[in-house]
Amino acid sequence: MTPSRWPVVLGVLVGSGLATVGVVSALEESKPVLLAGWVVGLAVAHDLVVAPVVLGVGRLVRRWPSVAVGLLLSGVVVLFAFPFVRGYGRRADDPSALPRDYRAGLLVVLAVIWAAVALRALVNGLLSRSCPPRPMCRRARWTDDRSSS
Amino acid sequence: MVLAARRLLRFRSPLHDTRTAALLGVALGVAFSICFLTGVLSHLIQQPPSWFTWPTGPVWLYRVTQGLHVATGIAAVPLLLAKLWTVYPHFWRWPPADGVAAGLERLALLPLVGGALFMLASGVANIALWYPWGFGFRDAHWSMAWVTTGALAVHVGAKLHLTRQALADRQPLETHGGLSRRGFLGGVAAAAGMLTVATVGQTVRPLRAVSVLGPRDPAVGPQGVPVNKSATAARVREAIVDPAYRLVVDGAVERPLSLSLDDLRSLPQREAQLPITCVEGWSATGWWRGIPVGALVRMAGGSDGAEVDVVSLQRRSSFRRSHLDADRVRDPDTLLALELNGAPLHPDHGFPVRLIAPNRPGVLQTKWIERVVVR
Repeated sequence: MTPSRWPVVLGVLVGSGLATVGVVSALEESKPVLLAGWVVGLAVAHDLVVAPVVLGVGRLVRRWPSVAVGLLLSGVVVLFAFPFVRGYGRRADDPSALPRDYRAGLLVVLAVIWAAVALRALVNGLLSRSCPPRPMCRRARWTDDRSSS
Repeated sequence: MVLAARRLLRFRSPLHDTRTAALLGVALGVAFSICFLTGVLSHLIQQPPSWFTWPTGPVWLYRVTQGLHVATGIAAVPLLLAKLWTVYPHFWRWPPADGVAAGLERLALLPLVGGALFMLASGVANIALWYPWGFGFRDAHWSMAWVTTGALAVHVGAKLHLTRQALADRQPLETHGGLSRRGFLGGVAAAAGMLTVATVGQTVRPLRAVSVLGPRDPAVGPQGVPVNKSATAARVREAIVDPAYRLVVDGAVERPLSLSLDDLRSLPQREAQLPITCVEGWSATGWWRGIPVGALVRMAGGSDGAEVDVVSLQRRSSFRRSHLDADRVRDPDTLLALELNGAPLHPDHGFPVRLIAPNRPGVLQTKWIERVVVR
């Protein structure tokens, strides 16, 4: 199958049209340079800081897939919850804005994640001990890849 | 730097493969498309061009589209991070590109990656009411949405062939006892589901108890309804309790009106159950009681088919004036509300009078109204 050229051409045509709308709109905005700085800064921060750290941690836990999944879930939820826990947006005049105890909420979510990871590891351990022939344990272990099935 | 990175990548997981990237890419493409379309829709509703009209019903429609916009953006956070992790080894590819076309394609990845990160980061910060940057959220989120979607279109066009090949190739992935592809993708899906459950109760009321990270609780606020801008923040605290307060109805009318609060209370009232729906993705239903805008226009002798601008006491706000098209003016549920859930409006809900109309964003439901201009 030779790749057809038309999706590439169409992508560039449609894409540059859409992006032009955005660039024109950004230039009308008062601080386009600051905006561009944030966009590039986020990409750089991800590629040079976040990704290497995640990769390094991933290497450390590569023999414990359950732990890796637990860390994946925990990392995402901590990242998301950060501004809520810090309460940057709290307003004295509006108690209905950010009304919850987000620190407690985050701890509850983390507890649920690690309880689920522990339970799954326990179940997998029991199953793999009780039925060694692999085809019998179709969904028992997540260290086997069966996304082909 | 490059050497250190290459050393780190030498022991890389087999999950940095094309099929994993393709599966995540498809999910991410769907999520970003939903966000873009619902976002553009919300923008059109707020600043309608002449060719655009947004219906008055069903009353829950905007609540669904905007709830979907925010929920999908939140669910896309783990999808984007997983996708970037999967393709990360390509970042250190050497030479960076073979040929001009490939170089341009790589360059387009900067607005794509930076833009996608910016869209999700700025969106999450906005629902957390956190503005750590020096520019307006709305314009920046809007501009970057077009840039990011444009870069995404280029990327999809360039990767379509590779993606289709990868999706057709169902070879199992040998992960040598490490995390499997199914385990990884299951974890990413679980992260998306977990964030959804932890937040979506801000608009899906039955889930409010489990949405422990929801930026709002639809039952918490004055009179059991959340508030986005308080009377204090809007600097109207004194103006709204001024005994000289009058609601003025003028413009294209035969008999301009000037009504005190008692006059307003003595007019025939109507009750409607309508949601207040914030662009930030939360919503809460309330029982509103007040005077239909259409009735007021008829009382003043305005024409059938008149359009109306509702103006707030709030002085400095881009949402001070809210436009109602003829369909909304005719809709009997478009109210100048005096009461919410059986009690006079709390100052933060717009005392003495606020606008509440079906199927529109909360920022257009102007509070602390002083003037109705018929056009």
